[in-house]
Amino acid sequence: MSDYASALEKVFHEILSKYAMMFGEPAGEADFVYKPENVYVRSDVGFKGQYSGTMSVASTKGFCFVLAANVLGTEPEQECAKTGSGCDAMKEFINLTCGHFVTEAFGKQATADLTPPDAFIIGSNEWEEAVKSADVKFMVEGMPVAVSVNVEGTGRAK
Amino acid sequence: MAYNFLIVDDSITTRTIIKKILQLSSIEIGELHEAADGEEALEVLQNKWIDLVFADINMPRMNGVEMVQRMREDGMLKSIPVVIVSSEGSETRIEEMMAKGIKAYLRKPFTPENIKELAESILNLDKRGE
Repeated sequence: MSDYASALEKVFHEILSKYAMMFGEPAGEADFVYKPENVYVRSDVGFKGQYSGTMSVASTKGFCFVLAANVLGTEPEQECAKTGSGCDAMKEFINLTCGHFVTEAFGKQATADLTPPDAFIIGSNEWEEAVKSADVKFMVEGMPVAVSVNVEGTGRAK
Repeated sequence: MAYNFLIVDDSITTRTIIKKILQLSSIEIGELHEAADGEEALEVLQNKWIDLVFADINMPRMNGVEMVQRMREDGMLKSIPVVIVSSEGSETRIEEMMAKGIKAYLRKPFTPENIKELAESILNLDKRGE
């Protein structure tokens, strides 16, 4: 767990509730055991500036659908939530979380350019690695979400 | 009077939300245009009449900072009002963008009221009672 876990946890809950009206709950280790019936997804974003680093969010494809549906005001089963919107909503979620993390961790004067976020399907090994390296882990509507941040250089969180 | 808007964001989800908010508001909408980055936005601006632009900062190809800079250097585009809608909250960044002449800076995630009130204020609809 990094020095930035508390800042990350704060912004994760804030963005999840304000952006998608969803809420994270405490999770146990068993919730993060790989299940072959699930499709797992990871989204990455980078930030560059006075402070540089990367952030990753890993979860299931189902989480992306529910996220898109909540943001767009539709049902997760509807086509608009299931197609590209699920992936896009996940990318926008990590973009918002990272943008807020920079000011929460480094102060209101800190600037950083965010790289365009990416989202892709991952297998069991990548899922297990994402869980192992996570700074914060939650259950969101019954789905596991693991978030990690890596900060380069010597800057420390306030 | 109907107003034309341009929404510039690489997230289709965000563009869809802003479009929905404007369509559900009492503002009379003419045309709603979309662009996924600054380059696409400048193309739209060169070819369409736009009354108000909502634009993100971090986008591929051309970001919102450069897009605003290019608009300010263009005699035809420099007076079009721009609202920056970004996840960034750095005071330094906000000051930089305000110095470039943007009308407002709105931090994501936003509420429908944020978008509606800014649009009405910038288009002077609140004063006219439209």
